[in-house]
Parts: sequence; structure tokens; C-alpha cells
Amino acid sequence: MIKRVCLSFLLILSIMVSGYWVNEAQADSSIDFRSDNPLYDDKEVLNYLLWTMDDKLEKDVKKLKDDLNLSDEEMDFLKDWGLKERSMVIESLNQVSPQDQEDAVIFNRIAEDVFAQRNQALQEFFGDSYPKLEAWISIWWNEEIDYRNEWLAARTDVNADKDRVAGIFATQYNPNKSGAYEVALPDKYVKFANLGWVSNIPSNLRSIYGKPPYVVNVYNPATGRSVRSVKVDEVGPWNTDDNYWDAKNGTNPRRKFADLPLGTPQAYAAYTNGHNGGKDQSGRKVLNPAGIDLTPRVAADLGLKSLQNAWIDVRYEYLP
Amino acid sequence: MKKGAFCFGSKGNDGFFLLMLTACSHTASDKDEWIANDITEKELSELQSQYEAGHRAGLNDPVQVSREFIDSLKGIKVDESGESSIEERTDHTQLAVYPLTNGQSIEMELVHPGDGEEGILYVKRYRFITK
Repeated sequence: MIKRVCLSFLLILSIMVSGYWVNEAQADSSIDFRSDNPLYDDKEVLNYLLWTMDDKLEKDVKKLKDDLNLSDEEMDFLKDWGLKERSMVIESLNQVSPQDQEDAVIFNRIAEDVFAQRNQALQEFFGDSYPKLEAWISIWWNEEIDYRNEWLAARTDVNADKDRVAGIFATQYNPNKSGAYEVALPDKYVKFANLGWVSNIPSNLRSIYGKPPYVVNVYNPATGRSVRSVKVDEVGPWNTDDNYWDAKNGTNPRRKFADLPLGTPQAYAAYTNGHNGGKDQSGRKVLNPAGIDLTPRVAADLGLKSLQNAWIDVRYEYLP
Repeated sequence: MKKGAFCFGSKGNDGFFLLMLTACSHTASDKDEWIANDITEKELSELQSQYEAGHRAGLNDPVQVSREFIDSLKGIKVDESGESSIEERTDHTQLAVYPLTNGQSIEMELVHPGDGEEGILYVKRYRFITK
């Protein structure tokens, strides 16, 4: 009898424990979801790999060349497609009617078509070697996500003595005023405050955004170069209400995507983990993980070339 | 477009009626004439490209488009203590009205490229209203 009671107790305990782990696993899987291969998930994967200034990614490119014994011509083909991934989406949009250009559903379908074309071009160019390339990218992608999460955590540790610093993926944009020295962050009210558009800031937020100018300091670990006190005069990339440097319970609570960790841009989460179905707040598929946009002049001061991306440190200390 | 013709326009929706009231409540003057914004197709295409690549995410926001347009005009300033309005009309255009520090208001008609329904906006035409 005692034995039967003990067995029943153990059975119930095991069910409870296994149930707990199932729930934990489900919770984890919803956070850590990743596509097995980014080539089939509508991402700018070649642009990210081949056009980003970053020590690790540059080593990855060399490893890709060595592992697959690729020629210079084959590497140039991949680099070329790295640029096409971005430009072809835009070119394809220009071929549809103006009404359709603005539709997020159409945008997403065009992105799918462009990435399908890219994959077909890769298959045709590499022929029998394509499965090796495909497999290499799949393995690299999963390693890169793990590495990048650790890198981001390490950057946080490196900057632990400084207030509000995070490692962020940066892209480049052409500013409204040619030659402007500024950056863009995905919080429209920072821009409104800096440009004096006070009446367009909701009255309950005016005191919070009431001490412009708001600036950031940016450091490029790959070059050791930095820029200081750069005004945030533009909105983006991707989102307009993602003040990701603010805690959800802070004095200026994060307005959207408060489920994400502090310092994580929604575009990064969408690109790497499929957050919000991989889409931004407007419903567009997020094609790159950028959390800050630099004008070409700022990018040049950080040692970046034209159209080059980078993983950089951004200090948000002076933001609301 | 002449002010009178605007007031007696044929579109009979509520939004347009409100617009008619707004337009008719002002004193006629040469400054009430609509002025076309001479943005080119190439410039619009460049803006569209920026937006689709994830940059300048405010290009579909009527507030940001209006304010940037006003900032681009020399010699005028928005009265931040006044009330602005943005009216979405049934034909997918929007009318933004901002009070200025010189006592006038500026009205801007915002449209999508190619008279589309969504996405980036630009100022097609504007005018100054003297109360």
C-alpha cells in the first residue's frame, strides 16, 4: 500500500514537473524562434553578411570563401547580390502601380519574390555547389544569432559603468537636408522635440520631451572611432514609436513592443527572432535589424564606407 | 483654384463640407490662392525608395510631412500655442492646417504619389489663409 502511494506520488510529481518543463519550453520557443535558414525567410542575409563592418562578420566572410573554396568571381557575385537584395525590392516596387506601392501586403509579396529570385540566381550560378552554400549559410546564421546575442550582452558589460548604452545595428540613409549631420531613432517625439514641433507632442508627454536638444554618442568598435552629441533629427529605421532605450516601467515608458528587453530594437527582434511576425509597426516585413540610421557624414566619421552597415555602441543617456 | 470655386465644389461628403466651411470663413485675398508644390517624380521616387528600405519612417505620417514642408518654407513659423488640425478626406487626401506666428494659417493638401491610397505622403499644394 505504501509502495502504491509512493508510486502515485512520484507519478503526479513527474507529471507536474514535466508539465512545468513543457510550459517553460513553450515559453522559450516563443522567444527563441528562429528560421532554420534565412535564405528562405525573406531577409537581407547577404547584405548583412557581406556589407557590414564588423570584425566577426569579416572573419565569417573569409571563412565562407575558404570553407567553400570560392573564387573571387564567386565572392563578387555574392557581394553583388548583397546590394541587389535591397535595391531590387525598391526597383520592383517602382514597377507596380502607385496605389500598390504603398500597400504593406504588396511590399511583403514583392520582398518574397525578390528573395526567391535571389535564391534562384544563386542556384543557377553555383549549380551543384549550391547545397553546400545553402548549408553553410544555415549553420552560420544560427551561430551568428548566438554570437550576436552574446556580443550584445558583452557590450552591455563593457559599458556597464555608463548609463544607457547598447550595441545596435546601424544602416545609412539620405537626410531631408542634404549633407545634414544627424541620426535617426525610431521615436518620433525625439525628432519633434529637437525640431521645436512642441504642439505635435501629446500634452501628457511634453514635460518628458521638454528639454531638447536630444543627442546621442556613437562608437564604432571596429574602427575605434566615435562621434559625440549628434542630434536625433529623423525617425526610423522601420518604426516610429519604439523608444527601446526606455524601460516599460520607467519615467518615459516604452510606447510599443514593451514585451521586448530594454535596449532591444523591435526591428532586431523581428529580423532575428520573428517578433511581431517579422514585421514592423506598419506591417512591413523587416528586412534588416537596424535600430539606428546614420547620415553618410556621420557614417564617414565612424569609418564606414558608402552603403556599409555596422554594429556600433550608442549612448542614449541624453534621451528622454 | 479660385476660392469661390472651392466653396461650391461638387464633392458632397462631410469632410469636404467641413473644408468648405473652413475655406469660406476666411477673408478673400490674393494670398488665399493655392500654390502648387513643384516636387518632381524623381524626388518622390527617391523618398519612396528611402521609405521602403526602412529609412525615414515618418514619410507616411501627415504630421511629419506637414511640419517638414513648413520648415522648408522661409520666413514662416508655426504658432505652437495654436491649434492645428489634420483632416482625412474620403478621397485618401488629407488637409493639414497650421496656425502661424504672423497671424495667418497655412493649409496643405497631402496626397500619396499617383493619387494612391496608402504609404508616403507629400504636399501637393498649399495656401496661406488670412483670417
